[in-house]
Amino acid sequence: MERKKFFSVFGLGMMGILFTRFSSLKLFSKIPNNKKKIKVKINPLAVKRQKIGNKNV
Amino acid sequence: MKASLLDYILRNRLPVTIFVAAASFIITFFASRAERDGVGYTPDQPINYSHRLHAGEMQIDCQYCHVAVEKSRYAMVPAVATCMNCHTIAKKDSPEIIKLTEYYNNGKTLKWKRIHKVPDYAYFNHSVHVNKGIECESCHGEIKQMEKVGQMNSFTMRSCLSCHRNSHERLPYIDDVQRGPEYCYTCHR
Amino acid sequence: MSDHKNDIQNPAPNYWRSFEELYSDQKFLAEKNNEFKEGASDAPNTDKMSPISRRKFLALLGASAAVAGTACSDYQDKGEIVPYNNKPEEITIGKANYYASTCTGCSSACGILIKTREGRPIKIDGNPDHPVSKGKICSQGQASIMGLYDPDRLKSPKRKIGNGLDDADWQEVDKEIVLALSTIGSREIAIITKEIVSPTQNEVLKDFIKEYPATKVYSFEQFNESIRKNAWQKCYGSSDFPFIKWNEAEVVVSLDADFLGTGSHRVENTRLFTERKNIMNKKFNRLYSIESNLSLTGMNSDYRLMLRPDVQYSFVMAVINELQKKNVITNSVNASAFSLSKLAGDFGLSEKILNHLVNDLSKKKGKAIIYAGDHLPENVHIAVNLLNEELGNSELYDTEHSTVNVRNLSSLNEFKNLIDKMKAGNVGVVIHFDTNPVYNLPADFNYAEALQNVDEVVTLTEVENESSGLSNHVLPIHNNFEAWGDSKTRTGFYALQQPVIAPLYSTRQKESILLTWINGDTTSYKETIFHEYLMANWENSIYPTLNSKLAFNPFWYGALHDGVVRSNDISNGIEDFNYSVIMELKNAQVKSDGITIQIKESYSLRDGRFANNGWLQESPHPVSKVTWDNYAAISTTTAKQLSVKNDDVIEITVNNRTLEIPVFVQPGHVDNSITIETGYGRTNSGSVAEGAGFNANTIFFSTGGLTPWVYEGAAIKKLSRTYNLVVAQTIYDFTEKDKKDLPQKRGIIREGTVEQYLNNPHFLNGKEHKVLESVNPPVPYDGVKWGMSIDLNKCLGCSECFIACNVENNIPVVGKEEVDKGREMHWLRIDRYYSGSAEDPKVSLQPMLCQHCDQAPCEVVCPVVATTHSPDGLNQMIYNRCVGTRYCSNNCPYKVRRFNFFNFRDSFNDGYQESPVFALLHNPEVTVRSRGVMEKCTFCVQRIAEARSDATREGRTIKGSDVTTACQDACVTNAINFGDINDANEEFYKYRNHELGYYVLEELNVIPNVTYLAKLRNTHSEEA
Repeated sequence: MERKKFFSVFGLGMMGILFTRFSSLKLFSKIPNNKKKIKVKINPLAVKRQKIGNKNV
Repeated sequence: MKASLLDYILRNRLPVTIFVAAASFIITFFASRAERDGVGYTPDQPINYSHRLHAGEMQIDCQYCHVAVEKSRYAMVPAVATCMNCHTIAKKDSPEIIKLTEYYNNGKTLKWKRIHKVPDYAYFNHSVHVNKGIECESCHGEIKQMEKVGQMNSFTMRSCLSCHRNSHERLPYIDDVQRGPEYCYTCHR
Repeated sequence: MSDHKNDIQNPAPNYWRSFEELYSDQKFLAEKNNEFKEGASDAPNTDKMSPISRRKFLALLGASAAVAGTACSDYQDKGEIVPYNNKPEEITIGKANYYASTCTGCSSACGILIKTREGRPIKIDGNPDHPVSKGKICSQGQASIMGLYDPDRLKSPKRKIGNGLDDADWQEVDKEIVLALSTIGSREIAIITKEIVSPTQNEVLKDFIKEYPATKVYSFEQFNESIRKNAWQKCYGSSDFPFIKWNEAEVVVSLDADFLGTGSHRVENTRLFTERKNIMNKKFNRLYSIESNLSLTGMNSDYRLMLRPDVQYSFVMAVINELQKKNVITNSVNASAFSLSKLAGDFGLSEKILNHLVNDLSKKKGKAIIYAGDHLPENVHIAVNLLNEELGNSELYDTEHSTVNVRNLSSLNEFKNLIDKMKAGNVGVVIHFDTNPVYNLPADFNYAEALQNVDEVVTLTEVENESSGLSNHVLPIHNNFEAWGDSKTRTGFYALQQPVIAPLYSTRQKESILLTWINGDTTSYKETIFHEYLMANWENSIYPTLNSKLAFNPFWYGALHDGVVRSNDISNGIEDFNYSVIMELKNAQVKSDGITIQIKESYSLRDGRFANNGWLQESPHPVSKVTWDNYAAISTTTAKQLSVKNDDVIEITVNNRTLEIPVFVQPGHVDNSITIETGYGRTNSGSVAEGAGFNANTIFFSTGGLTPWVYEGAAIKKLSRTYNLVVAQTIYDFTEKDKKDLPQKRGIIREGTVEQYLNNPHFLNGKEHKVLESVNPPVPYDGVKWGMSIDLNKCLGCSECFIACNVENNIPVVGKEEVDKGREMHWLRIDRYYSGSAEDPKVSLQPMLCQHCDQAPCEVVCPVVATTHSPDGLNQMIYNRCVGTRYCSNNCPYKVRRFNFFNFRDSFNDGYQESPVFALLHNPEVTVRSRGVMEKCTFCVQRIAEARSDATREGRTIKGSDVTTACQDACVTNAINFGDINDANEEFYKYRNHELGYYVLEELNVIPNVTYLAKLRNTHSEEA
């Protein structure tokens, strides 16, 4: 009886530990949902700078 | 009565408690190693790209595809167009290449499973390491022999610091190697 | 059994339940005494039961669910990494690209460099090749990046349905408007624009007029230089008011002219003026400010007199009279009615300062300039022009470059005619071409009412505003960074504007909208329609005049690369002074009763167009440090007379219209006058602008005042309510004895005079500080060690550095209530100290940021070692270690640490800063901090890290001059200098080791690394 109790407690404890350890961090964190993404597109006609002052960029 | 209680504690309760604590800690520690630092993580990718073939057999340089590694913080996974540089012609009837071409032609996003990821609060800079002469294999393992890329090193702060501190031993191929910086702002801005 | 002895007739039946009972079994009787049978309370026999209890069953149920959940989730999953399908050639992920363009925030059209990351613009700085701005822009330009990512931007065209606006399709809307335009008949089409500085935009308007001949274009700026220009033309003929060589002026007299704070040439004026506040080559100018309100220019003046705007004319004439009496100038005008000493007596002006002024003007003939404010009446400007001419100060007029007016602003009379036509129903279509006339036009025009008689009102705008609320169609236009354009503001060059990002929403460039309507065919629109028009206009009209050696295409790409193209047009020069204008100078009467009201443009919101920009709303007023509101600035004496104090709401009546506005007692304001900044009190203009301040345009008129911006004889009534004005800096009570001169006693502000300095360059080091013993062993800093110097002579307190820091470091906007609790998150603040009397104080300014102390008191008290010191001298703040004890901030003697009491991004304005588009604004190299962490200035460590990485790439070690901080880049006067304190070859080294350098709170022995260079006032030696 005692042995059963011991192992059941032990087992449930292990389950709890493994659950929190192995669950992906996504479940517990507040990563913002960027599903409604804004489309960012560079304007292909823009000419970028090669030099600023005397420094190459 | 007292003797019996103490006896009971020492012979029964104490060992059991110690055993439970030790066993759960040890098992959790090792069982969770994969989660903690991800060593060995080798996921399936949407396209079975083989580094062994391209980087190993064909000896394409890492920087042909991973273009930004020498200039910026990020190594940059190559654009699909880079693959199409060759694969518009090369092996274009292979099923994987057909999949690839579909991504390119339809503008579908090619979502590779990410393997190497350092937490957001650490700002890792590839170009500094590459420009100091560190080879890709030192951190990423023997990529040229990998069919599927996996994480070979743990990228915990401990492992970064151990290389920074023992750079002489860990990077013998660089002459005159200095110890890497150890102060917080190096990575944690 | 009961004894029923009474009941003999009916003997009670004898009830029994069992034989044991009937026969009174002994065992039975004994058991009856126990309530429960034997064994009833025994524990259950679990051996026979199922081994799983209910509790255990539920536990196992939960555990197996957990295991199932664990097994199903991929705990090692690190997400995905998505490459480009087709990477644009210019983009290197992780590296910024820079594009030259032009800012369209105001008519100055300063050149800018847009820094983009992965195709998103994230920071605006000046274009170093632009000859006017020379690498600097104003705070509105810096903050304008927020306008691109404003969640309140209109995303599609709207049509008025009933009382609201409904989404509409571009093609439908175009059809409806083209119909209205083509059936205009005899009525007028009015296009209302801002000041037009783009030649190509002007061509589009001209083409529009050709297509629809009933069109008239009206250009309007609420704050403009029309009075100044008119006066100039009367004095000098056809030319335009010249640019002034401030850097060659040894004496500057500003007559209520806030030329360093507001006005369209601010950036250039500031840059040139502070060239003569130079502690390196010891060239100092002297600034006299005779003004009504304490303005930014006044804060930085050497001598200051307080005078109402309606008295300025008498003042100038009195000075002319004085100089004529001394034979310094010829007796060209009869100014004998104006006596300077009488004026001094009447208005409490210091005779000493007036003597200095007259003497300086006499001695520095040809090297001084008198400059009058835009809002002063024409006679003041004519008198000033005469005085400058007589003194030979016309030497300081720039004759090499002159203003180019692409299209003149319309006069108020022209607008009046338009309103009359509108009221009579003779205007069929009104197009608001990125303007807001309902808000900005004078109140007496009753423009909103007049609009009701117009059939078709179209507003082209980025964000909804007061005018769009009354329109039939609201059309969303491109932001500056999505649009093409060009500009010509003065002779000598053209500037170009190019878009860096494809339009985020379904918007169109405003010129493209007009081109589509000119075309008539609503399906003809394509995104490149204006780009083609621009290139065609350049190729046909502008490029041939430039005599370029290149073919057009390479020329064009070079022009877009540089952002600026030099041209050969030369200035017309300045004609001779027309002395007949003296007839206009008559004796003027000064109303002595009533309060004079001055309407001024806001330092942060200008004429209100930036009201929806949270950074600018939260930017403290340079003088009063009030955020989020405007107020009626009033002097201490006048406040006592009206028995009002701070936050009391008063009702101002001008020309029968009223304005209710709270009072702010402004030290240094002239008596019997009130100054109100406009740009606030906006409605229907975006969620940030809502509820901020009071609409002062209700007392902005075209007539009935000395000028549209100055009104005499206003009536003031104190109301019973109050309004909480939030000041981002506590104001000391002047009367408290121990608080007086605290900044001087503690050595926070150390100042001197130019004379003191020239006599003894080391005058500052007189005080010996006792150096305390330190607990920590000294740390040798052998390599690069970062330090900063701030030259308080050049710092004007304009807050440009402040905005640049906010943009660079992802500082959140916290909102008015939180600023009231002291929770503003600005890493860099500008402390403004008054000294002297409450009526006429001197002002000292000091930008305060993390001093990166060598022996930082914050580092030793962090219980989790979240703040440490780097070997290159920076105090490191590690956000992921911080638990929010706030002990570090407690220990900081400079109070520069800011704590994130909330994640302000999800609390301010209903999570406005967490909308998906706002996230694009953030600088990817800087952590976006969340609740519970401490933050502070990092000396732009992200720029240091990038410079170090670039240096490693080039095979060298980092140098101090490789890094410029955001504040240093933005400061127009170059007051901030940053570099390696160990490198003797650097410019910075000279500043760090300058004899005027001191550290704030030096005696605490924290060894700060920000050197402040003491301010020198150019006053005469007999005063302090």
